[in-house]
Amino acid sequence: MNKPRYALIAIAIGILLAVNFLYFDYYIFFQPYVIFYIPPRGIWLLCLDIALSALSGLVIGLSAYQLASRSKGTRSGGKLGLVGIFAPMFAGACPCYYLIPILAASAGAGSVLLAFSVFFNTYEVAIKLLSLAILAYALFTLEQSLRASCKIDTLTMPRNTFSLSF
Amino acid sequence: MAVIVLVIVIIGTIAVFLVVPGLTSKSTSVSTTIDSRLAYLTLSPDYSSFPVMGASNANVTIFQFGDFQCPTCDGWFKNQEPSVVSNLIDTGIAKFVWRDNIFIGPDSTNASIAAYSAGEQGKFWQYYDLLYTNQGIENSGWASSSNLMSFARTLGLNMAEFNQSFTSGQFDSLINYNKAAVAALGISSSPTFFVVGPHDQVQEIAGPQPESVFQTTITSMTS
Repeated sequence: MNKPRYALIAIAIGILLAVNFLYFDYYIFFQPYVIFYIPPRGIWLLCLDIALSALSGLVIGLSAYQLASRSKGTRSGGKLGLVGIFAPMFAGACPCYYLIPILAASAGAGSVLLAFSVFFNTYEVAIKLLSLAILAYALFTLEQSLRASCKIDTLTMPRNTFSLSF
Repeated sequence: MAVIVLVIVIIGTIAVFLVVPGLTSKSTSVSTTIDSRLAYLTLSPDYSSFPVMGASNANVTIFQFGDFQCPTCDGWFKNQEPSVVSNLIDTGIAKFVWRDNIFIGPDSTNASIAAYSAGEQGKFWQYYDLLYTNQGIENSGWASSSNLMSFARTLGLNMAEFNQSFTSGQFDSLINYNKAAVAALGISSSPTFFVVGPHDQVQEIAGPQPESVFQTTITSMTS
């Protein structure tokens, strides 16, 4: 990705997602002061969160580039990437953290919400690993698509563009 | 599509920062004025009914609001609580008070009642340890009445007395009071801690934070 604008989008998205993931997985706390803390046995989930954030940033950045360059290649990579981006946001949705006020306010719907959050929290690592695989595949597809479109553009160019006259 | 996703992510992040209390707080100092939250922390239908660990004359009190079914509370119990207890409670710097924040299900209520019932025989904290050590998936039945009885037997409690306490409903008012306190204090996560200093300063510590945060907060309150 040699276009600075899209690289910036990728980095910004990656950082935003990393802050979100690390906050909801209890690596970053903002109160009473900002602290970054890795609990015992927490290093693997931290690596997973960072990998997911980085891949999400790359997939979104590449998708933006693909759209902007009006690539005629497949866009399934971008669509697939969305699944990979949103799935880990729900994974690890432990009811312990941010759902208490929602559960209190949602009355009857609270039990459904709680059941979902328990499911996502229980299978957090599995969902995040699956998301990582989806993102990796989306990244591969996007890259292939962009490469293919570049080749097509090159081949369809007039021959004399590249001819050298001596 | 990418622009839409970008907008969603940015809005989502801003929403998180607005919704989650404390994220927008820039203050790291501790208020020296008497806090309105103090009443909800220290008063109860029967103040002596709050289970307390540590020296009763300690200048600082750490209130923990938790749920026995909450996996994050379990994580804090296993990872951070041992150092809090050894460095702050056992040394007499602070005392540690348990308060309910029941929100996961009926088994959470039963677990709390069972712990209070064990407390009637002076074994609240042993029962507390046993509950977190044996915690299973939320609402999976690990905190069923039969299992709670089994835990009580493990501790060698007088089962007739335990059953009487467990079924009498004598802790209902305390549990309801704690529910009201959780709402009044605006607690949005579990576990949430409140550190009350020697001059009635109050500092909220939300989430399973390390011992160093408690230590720093207490130092700023006492210095």
